[in-house]
This record gives sequence, structure tokens and C-alpha cells, in this order.
Amino acid sequence: MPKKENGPAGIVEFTQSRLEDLVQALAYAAIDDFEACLALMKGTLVGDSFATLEGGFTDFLTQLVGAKSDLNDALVQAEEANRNLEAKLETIERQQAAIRELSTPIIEVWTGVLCLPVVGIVDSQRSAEMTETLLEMIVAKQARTAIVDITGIDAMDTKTADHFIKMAKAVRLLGADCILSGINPGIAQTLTHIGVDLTGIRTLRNLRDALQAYLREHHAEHLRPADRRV
Amino acid sequence: MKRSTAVSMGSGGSDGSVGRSRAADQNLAIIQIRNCLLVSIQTELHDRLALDLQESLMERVRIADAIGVILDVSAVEVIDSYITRILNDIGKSVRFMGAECYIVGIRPAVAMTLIEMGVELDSVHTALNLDLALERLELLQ
Repeated sequence: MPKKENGPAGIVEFTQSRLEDLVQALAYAAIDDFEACLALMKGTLVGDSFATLEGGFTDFLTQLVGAKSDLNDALVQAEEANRNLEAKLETIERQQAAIRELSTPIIEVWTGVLCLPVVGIVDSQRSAEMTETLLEMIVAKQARTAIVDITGIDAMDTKTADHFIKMAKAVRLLGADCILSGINPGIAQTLTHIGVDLTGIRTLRNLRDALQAYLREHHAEHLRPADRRV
Repeated sequence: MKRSTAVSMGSGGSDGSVGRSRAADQNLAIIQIRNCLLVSIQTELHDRLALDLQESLMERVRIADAIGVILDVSAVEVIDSYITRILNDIGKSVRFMGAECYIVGIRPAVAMTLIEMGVELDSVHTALNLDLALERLELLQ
């Protein structure tokens, strides 16, 4: 340690070392090494005015360390919460996509016959999606008949019934027929009770009956011109 | 009624007149196939065009003694309530003259919009494509 030329050597050296300690502590604080900083400042309390500065600095540092660790904790917690939320959102999106795909499985059960089995709750968004997919499939496959099978639906209210009526009307606008199959006794009673008008929509007992009806009619349709010629 | 006799498109030696809309250069060809009339609408169907079509179509049904009228709307992206009314009117008038009217190739999006709007195309028949419409009209003979 270089000695200063002027002034009483002992005091200067003493003050100089304390000053250097302070500077060193500040340097530690600047690079976020608070432990080393506080260790350096420990045991420097002597009752003069420089000690007051040191004491003040130590207090300030202690508070800073506390605040900083609190902040760090909060940050870590926030990040954790954020990660959790993001994971949850991702799961929800994935599940929604899966549900959307599951909600409209359209099967071509026979040449020109599409079958749409409906399971679960039908709200307006889902019914719009189902109708859209069904109509697009009808055009793509040039299907003459669409069978909407609602065996998997337990209860139906006016709104749901309305969705199915709209779906049938849209299908008919394209020039295809729409058959509703698999209405269970409960739904049949509810529909009668609430007075839903299903005229114009063909309802058949089950998918088998619907398919048989299609085959019977189209067999007849193909025969009719020949019959007339005879 | 402004009409012009233009390119002959019908088979079977009919006069092949084409309804001309007053809107610039847009006209819809009415093609005769056997005893059916076919109109393929390859442009956006606006009000004037639809009204002119209605007029010239009625005349052609009488001249050609057609049993069926087929309107192909597969290229039409917008059908509003007014056009729907005109189409229904065409269907009714055609039926009064003893023929049937088929609308073919309605797009899924158009169908959904019509249903959402709550308008009904109940005075015309619909078919998926021209082939099926012709098949069904042939059954009527």
C-alpha cells in the first residue's frame, strides 16, 4: 500500500484503508456481490463522523439487499406463474383443436351418403362448424343424402333443435336431402312438449333405417324411367 | 324490354335469343338443352341482371315450350335477400307455366348465409349439380 507524503502518516493510513474498504465495498456492490460487500463493511463501526457514513452505507446496503432479494423472489414467482399459465393455455388450445376435430367426423357410409354422428353438447358455434364441414363435404363428394345421427345426444332444447333445423335447411339448399336419425324417446317427448316444428325434416329410427330408406328410394328412382318406357 | 338476338347457342334449331342486361356488356346466355333451359351465371348476380334474366327467361320458356329451367349459381359468391326473392319469383312464374325451376350448385357459404338470414328458397328446387337436376327433370317427362 503506497503511503501518502503529507499529513500524519498513522491517521492518513487509517482513513486511507477505511476509504479503500469503502471503495472496494462499492465496487462489490456495483457487481452485485453484496455478501462480500457486507463482510467488508462489518466491524468498522468506530464513533467518528466517517463511521456514520460507513454505518449509513451499511444500512443502505442491507436494505438494498433485502429489497433486491424480495424482488428476485417475486420475479421468480411471476415467471413460474406465467409458465404455468402458458402451459395451461397451450393445453386448452390443443384440447379445443382436438374437440373441433372430434365434433365433426363425417363418414361416407355409402356412395353419395354422408353420415354425421353427433355426440355431446351442440351450441351455436359448434353447430355452425358442423354445418360448414358437412356442406363442404356434400359438395366435395357430391353426396345426395346426409344422415345426421343424434343417438349420442341425451337432451335437446329449442335452441339445439333450431340448430338441427337450420342444418337440414342448409343441406336442402345445396340440393341434397337431410335425414335425422336416432332420436331417443326422451328427446322425442321433449320436442313434442316444447312444440318444435320438425316438419320438412325426415326423422328415422336409426342409422340402419336411414340407410335402408336411401337405398330403397334411389333404387326406385333409377327404376322409374325404365318403368315408364315399358 | 330490350332484347337482342345474338349468337345461337341452343340446340334443336331454336332462335337462341339472349337476354341482355342494361348494365354494360353483361348478358346471361340462356342455353337450351332438349326441352330444358340452362342459365349458367358466371358473374356476380346484381339486381338489374336478375330482373332482366327473369323477363327474358319467361319469354324463352314460352317460346321453347320448356319443361324445366336450370340456373347454375356455382360461381355466384353473394346471394342477398332481394336476389332470393327474384329467384323465388322465377320459380313461381315458371311453375305457373307448367315447368319446374332448379337452382344448382349453391355454395356452402352462400347456403349458410341464407339460412342465417332466415330467407327461404322454397319456390324452387335445388340440386347438387347440373347432372342431377337434368336427371330429375327427365323423370318428370
